[in-house]
Amino acid sequence: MLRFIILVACANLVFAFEDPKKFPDLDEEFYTLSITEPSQKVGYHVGDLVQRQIKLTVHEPYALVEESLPIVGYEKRFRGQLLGITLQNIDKKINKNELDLLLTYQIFTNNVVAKPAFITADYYRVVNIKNPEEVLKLRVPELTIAVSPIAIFGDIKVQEDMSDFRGPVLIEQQQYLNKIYISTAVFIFSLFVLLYVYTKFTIVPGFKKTFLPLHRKLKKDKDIKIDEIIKLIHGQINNYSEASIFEKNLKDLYSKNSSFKFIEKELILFFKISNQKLFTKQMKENASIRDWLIFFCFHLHLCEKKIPVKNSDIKLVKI
Amino acid sequence: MAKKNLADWLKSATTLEKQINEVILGQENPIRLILISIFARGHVLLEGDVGVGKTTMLRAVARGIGGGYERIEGTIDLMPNDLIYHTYLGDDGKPHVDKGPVLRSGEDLSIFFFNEINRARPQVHSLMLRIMAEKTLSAFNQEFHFPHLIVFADRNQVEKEETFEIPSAARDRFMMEIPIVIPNNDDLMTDLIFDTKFHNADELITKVKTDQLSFDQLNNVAAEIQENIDATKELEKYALNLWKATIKPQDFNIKISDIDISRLIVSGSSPRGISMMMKCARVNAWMNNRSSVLPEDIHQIFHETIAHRLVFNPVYDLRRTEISRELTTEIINKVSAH
Repeated sequence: MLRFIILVACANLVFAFEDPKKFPDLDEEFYTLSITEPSQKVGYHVGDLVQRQIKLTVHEPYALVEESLPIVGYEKRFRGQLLGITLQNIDKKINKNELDLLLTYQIFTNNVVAKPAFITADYYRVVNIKNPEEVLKLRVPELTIAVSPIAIFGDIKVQEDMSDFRGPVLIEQQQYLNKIYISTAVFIFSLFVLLYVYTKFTIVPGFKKTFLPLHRKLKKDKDIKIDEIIKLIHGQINNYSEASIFEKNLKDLYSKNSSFKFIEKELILFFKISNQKLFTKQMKENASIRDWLIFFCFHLHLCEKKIPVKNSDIKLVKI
Repeated sequence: MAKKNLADWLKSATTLEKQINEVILGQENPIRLILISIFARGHVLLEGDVGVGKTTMLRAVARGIGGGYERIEGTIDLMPNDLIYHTYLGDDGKPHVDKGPVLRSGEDLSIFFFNEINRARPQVHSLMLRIMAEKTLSAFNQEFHFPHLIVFADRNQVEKEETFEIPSAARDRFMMEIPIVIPNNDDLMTDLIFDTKFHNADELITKVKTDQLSFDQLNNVAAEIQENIDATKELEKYALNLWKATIKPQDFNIKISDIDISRLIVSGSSPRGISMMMKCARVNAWMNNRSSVLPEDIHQIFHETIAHRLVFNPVYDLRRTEISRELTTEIINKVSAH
């Protein structure tokens, strides 16, 4: 009994590895075959995936023998040599006599030059339902592609260069694409931010800008008096230069930022106005002086940002 | 002589300043400060090396002011009575008593120059302090008054042997301590070497006209200046902050390299000191033809009116000249006026 079982098992095994080419071809009128090949035919590297979609309809009285379909993990040979292309996944949908296959192959071969590679032809078996003795085959043609070297010959041999720094060769590239998209978006956004920072009207919270917030405040507050404006401007000048600035020690302000030299005439006038208003009380509320102080504050802001103030932009007011 | 108004006085002061500047080269700022102290009626301590022109400067000023000019040299054996009288045997073989330098000009004494005051003993200092503070002196059973007196004293900070440090109470009586330094200008220095007119100080000072300021009217003018020159609330606040900064500089974020600022000051400026500062600031405003005091007026006289009053921790006192300059500069740079 045991001997019989072993005999039957061996016979089945022999049948399983039976050369499919020995069966006669199925006549074309009994099947419809449609193959969607990948658009890329060349330039494959180690790890790349190749997908081909096969739609097959077998007409009666024949039916497909499912066992003859390709096996996942099987690496085909050509003339006894391994091809270096393995079936990685098979997505199979069978509806009566209609078969929809999505075959995913992965490249495991590489070469120092571009080299043809191919997925060999497959032979699927069909059986006559009415006459099970009649087994025929139908041929799915081979797919020819080409593998390319990863780099110029001599630079990299993947099999010898397993550096940790290089990272694994990954099948999925979407994550890299995502990173590129995000980096590009951040880069473009930062360019806009930079552009904004360098414009005249920038105000960045916490950026320690001194004069622009004051300028905005003065422009908004119509009721603020001249002596208040003068004190606020003095306060900001002192804050900026970390010293108490007077006409005599303007050089301390220049040493902090030489751009203020551009508006030296305005600074001197400001100190004169300040002295008259705060220390001599000879100046009354005056709209032109008020406007000039706000204008002067804006020039201070430009100097703070090292934007040169042209001589033609210097404006003085009579006091 | 018709009574002069403040504008006329200013003209006279400016003319005198110009004449003195022609006689004393490269000392524009000390000369301006001396004139300020004259119109603020305060005593002055001059600090400088030997031979920089302190005496010539004072003699020129004394000529311009008019009145009596007296001078005495400080020495270690100088005694208070040497200032008041001296005795000698006359041709007649009898002892005589003559008035000393303080009494010689009587009430007309306008400038008393005490050369090298730090070489004199503390007893002499005490007498001078009374004369400076009260402008009176008791001698020969009577009281002498010197209503127009201003004392100029000088000390040289380089030599320390056989000298007596002037105590802080005595320093505080001086309105200003004015440093006199050699002008840092090659042309001026060349003139001082090769221009023979600077070799004879006696002849040189004759270029300053005498009695230009009428010494006996200066007290009234000074009072008038103080009354007529305004100081706004902002300026009062500023002066107050400056005063506070001399007492606790650390509160105003004042820093000096290598100095622990919280330990530097033992005693800041006195109320007398700060009031003298304001008096000088008013005079400076007047001399700049203004009717109100500006912060710049205070800046011009701040170091000279305040630095010598500060009492430093003894650890730092040896570097007093250098530290006090840095401190006053920092105070002006850090204390906001607005």
